[in-house]
Amino acid sequence: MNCQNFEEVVTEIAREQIIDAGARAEALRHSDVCEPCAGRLEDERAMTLSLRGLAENTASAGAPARVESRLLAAFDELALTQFPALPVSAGRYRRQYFIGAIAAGLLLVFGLSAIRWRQSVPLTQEIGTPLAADTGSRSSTPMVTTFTPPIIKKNLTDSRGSRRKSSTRPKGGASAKTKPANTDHTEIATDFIPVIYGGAVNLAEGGRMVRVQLPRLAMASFGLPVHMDRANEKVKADVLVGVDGLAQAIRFVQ
Amino acid sequence: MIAAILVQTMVTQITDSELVQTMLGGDKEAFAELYRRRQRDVYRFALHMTGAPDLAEDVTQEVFMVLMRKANQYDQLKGSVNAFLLGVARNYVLRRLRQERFFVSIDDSVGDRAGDEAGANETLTRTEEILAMHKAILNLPAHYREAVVLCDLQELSYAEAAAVLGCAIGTLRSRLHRARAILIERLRTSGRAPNKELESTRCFA
Repeated sequence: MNCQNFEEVVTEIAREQIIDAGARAEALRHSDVCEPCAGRLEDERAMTLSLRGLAENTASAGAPARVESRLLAAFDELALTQFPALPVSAGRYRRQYFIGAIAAGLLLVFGLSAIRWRQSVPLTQEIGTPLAADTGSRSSTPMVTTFTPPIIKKNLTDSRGSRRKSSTRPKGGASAKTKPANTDHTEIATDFIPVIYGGAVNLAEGGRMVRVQLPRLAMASFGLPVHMDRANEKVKADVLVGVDGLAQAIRFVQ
Repeated sequence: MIAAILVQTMVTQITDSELVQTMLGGDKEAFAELYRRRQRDVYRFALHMTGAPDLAEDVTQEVFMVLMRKANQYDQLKGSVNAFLLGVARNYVLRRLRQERFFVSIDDSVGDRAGDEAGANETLTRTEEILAMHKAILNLPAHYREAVVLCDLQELSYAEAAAVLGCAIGTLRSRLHRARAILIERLRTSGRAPNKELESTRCFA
């Protein structure tokens, strides 16, 4: 090794850096025989010691506590705009938990009210029970079928049962107090006729009955006799609709 | 007590990168922990580069404000969080020095810290040596100064220091080598050479 090669590694040796062991040994051998390079190595080692002394002397130096205070305050301010989706402090945590708790409480109250209201409505409804004029507003009542409809059932409008039914669900305002439109009529209905080809009527999961008006000619589709002179007239019909929204059965009412 | 130790152990196991990610989610404590871990490195770098505690304080604050605002720009594949912070600190220091034509002053407290340790004569000598060394470092050109500060005073590895400076490791080694040679020469001129007995230490035999 010559002095130029020595110069390339002298800093690493003085700083005790990891270098090739062979190069290090050669450099040290060179410094043994070359006085200027030995002096150069001593200078570098002394420099390393001095720098380490300075580093140790300032090792405990750090920013004053006020910097941390200022930064944390700035973080709070910045968090409101930069991290709006997340809470940044215990206060904000508490506020959000409080709002969430209120919302959950309200939800629970409404949920329980809805369940109670549903339980107050009779789950089973006799299929043959005639519907009032405002059937449409009641059509969402869940119904578990007991599919034994009578062929003809007379509607006693002033019976206690009918009153009970109309009181089971609030209709609101004056309409709830008015008598149904068909109170003076006696309805005659056919049997329920399945409308699903080859399928049995299945309302085990519930369903609803919808009053509709159809051309009298539609009765012919179900094998019922139709007077052709009255074919264009309308006829009432009750349609049983399953929970899937498909019509299950139909009966014609007069 | 044990719980506190356990919590402290858990906190120290979290890496700086994880703290940055947590901080990005708005966690103030993550930011505070990161600050406590790294503020000394940033402050000391600024102090060694400028020689002014006030400026070092400003730089430290600015660096962590940048972290607060632009933490999403940190890419751990490019280097450690410490390297990121020191890189930001370097940019601020250089900008401030350019803008203000900052006149480098020696912080007397640097010497004062040495004064508590030994006897009066030794203390005076050591204090003078430290001040002289600090002054010599502050008089180096910036690109040499930062190499000495990062590698010798902050004791970063070549790879980390090169990441901070954004240069190749070979370039950094060359700058460090040259900076140390300049320091030795200047200290010799001022009569405070580490090895005063040798008149000339360079040979090109």
